[in-house]
Amino acid sequence: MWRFFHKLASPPHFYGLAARMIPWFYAAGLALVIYGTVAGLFYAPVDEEMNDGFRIIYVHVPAAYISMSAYMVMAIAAGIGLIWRMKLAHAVAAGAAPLGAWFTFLALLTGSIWGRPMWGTWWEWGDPRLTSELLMLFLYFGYMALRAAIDDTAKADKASAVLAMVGAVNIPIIHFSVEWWTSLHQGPTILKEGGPGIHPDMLYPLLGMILGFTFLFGALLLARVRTEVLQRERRSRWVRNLIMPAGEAA
Amino acid sequence: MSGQEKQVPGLLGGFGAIIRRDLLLAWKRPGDVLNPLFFFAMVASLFPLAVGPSPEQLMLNGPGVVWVAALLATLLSLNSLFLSDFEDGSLDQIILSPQPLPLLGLGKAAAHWLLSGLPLVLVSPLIAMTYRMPGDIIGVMMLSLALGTISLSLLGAIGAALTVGLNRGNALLSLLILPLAMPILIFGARTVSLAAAGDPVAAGIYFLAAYCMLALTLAPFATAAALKISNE
Amino acid sequence: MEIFMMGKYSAHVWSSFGITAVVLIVCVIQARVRHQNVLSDLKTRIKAMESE
Repeated sequence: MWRFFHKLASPPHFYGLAARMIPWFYAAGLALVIYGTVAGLFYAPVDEEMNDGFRIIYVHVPAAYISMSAYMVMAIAAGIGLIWRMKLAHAVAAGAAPLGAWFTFLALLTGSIWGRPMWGTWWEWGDPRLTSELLMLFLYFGYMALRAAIDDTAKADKASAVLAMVGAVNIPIIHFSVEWWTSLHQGPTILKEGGPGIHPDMLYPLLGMILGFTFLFGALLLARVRTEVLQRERRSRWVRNLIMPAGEAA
Repeated sequence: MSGQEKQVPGLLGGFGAIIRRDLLLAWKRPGDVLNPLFFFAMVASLFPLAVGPSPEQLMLNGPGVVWVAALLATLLSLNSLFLSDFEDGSLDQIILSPQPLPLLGLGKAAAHWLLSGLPLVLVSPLIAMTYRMPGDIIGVMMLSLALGTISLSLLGAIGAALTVGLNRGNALLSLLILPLAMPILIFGARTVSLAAAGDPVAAGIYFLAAYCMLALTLAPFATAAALKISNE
Repeated sequence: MEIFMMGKYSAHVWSSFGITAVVLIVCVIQARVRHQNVLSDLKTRIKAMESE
């Protein structure tokens, strides 16, 4: 069992394994997203308040969920890389950051489009969840900016790891902000006591979308980390053999 | 050999030494302390110049303006937190010294607050009065600023440690610190506004104090880690 | 046709889904393109080194 993780941490092993996993993740993600979109847009019942407008939930909630998960992946990977000095972990953190930023942007954008008819405004500065999600976007930017500013890869890895972990404090604040403070945003509907408070026909497409987005994020992350690994290990033998198999004329 | 060994200062000795050193250095270069203060005053005066000096607007915006100005002035002074140490090589000495680095990081942050946060808190009533803030509110404002600037010094030390020696370190430092500073700003300014409206302020003050405690306990370790990483 | 109108919210719903789809597709394409770029870049470099 430990040998599996040991092998996983080796870049060439990861490179090959990820290549095999990516198509499956894309396929699963696509299938779930198609199910969720079709079921959510056309088959889910109409909401009392917002009629069909609520269907934005099927992209907004998954995007928001991934935006926070991506940050946790980034912070945990960075921490593992910093504490246990795993090169691959740092590559994962580096790959997760731009993806997380995109999903955060999507969450904010779709949320804003949804908010306009529902609350009457594109943005509400006083709202804790909106503000902390925006804050998380800035944290992503800071992380990527710090990485870009440091030339030495190893140093950039470690410095940005410290930053990622310090910023991780924000994540519970976002999730619990709607409980702690009064907010325009509705409270949690899925992960709350007493089970989900939403009609099953509305719920299943949403779960499908969330799971689908997770698979897509996984595929994208694996793809980006593969590229990172290739770049970082460019001087090693296994990369040379990969690009120019032994015996091939130069 | 004289036979008399020099005692290595203990924890408190090291902590005190690093604060004393920064205070002494600042004494010799008063500009380091005064410039951010002037900046604070000037930023605070930008708003009425731009938005118009009507008393209602001043009173409405006062808490927010004071807080934003204090935040910007603190960011300005954070740039040089480790800069002079880095340039003359004493940063290496600090990292290598026998006292625990987090303690020394805490000392640097404490010295920074004494030289930037505390003066801001003391000068703020003057600014507040130009914004026609009533006297009883000023106490709340100063308390919130004190708690907030302490947190800023602590968190800012992390950012300064991460960016010391980098080329465009200044802008990057602000980018890194601002997300962490936003909750402080939100609660600080809101609390003062609440006080102006006559509402209870305990919740806001508690939040600021809690944030301050969190920063006090965790930030020095992050600062120490960042210093070691930046200085390899 | 009515089913595509989403009540009166068609602009909101479809723009949200649309932008999300575009961003996701861009991410997928970008990941692929970057990978190919790195591969070809490394190929050129290794070729240059081996011929020295």
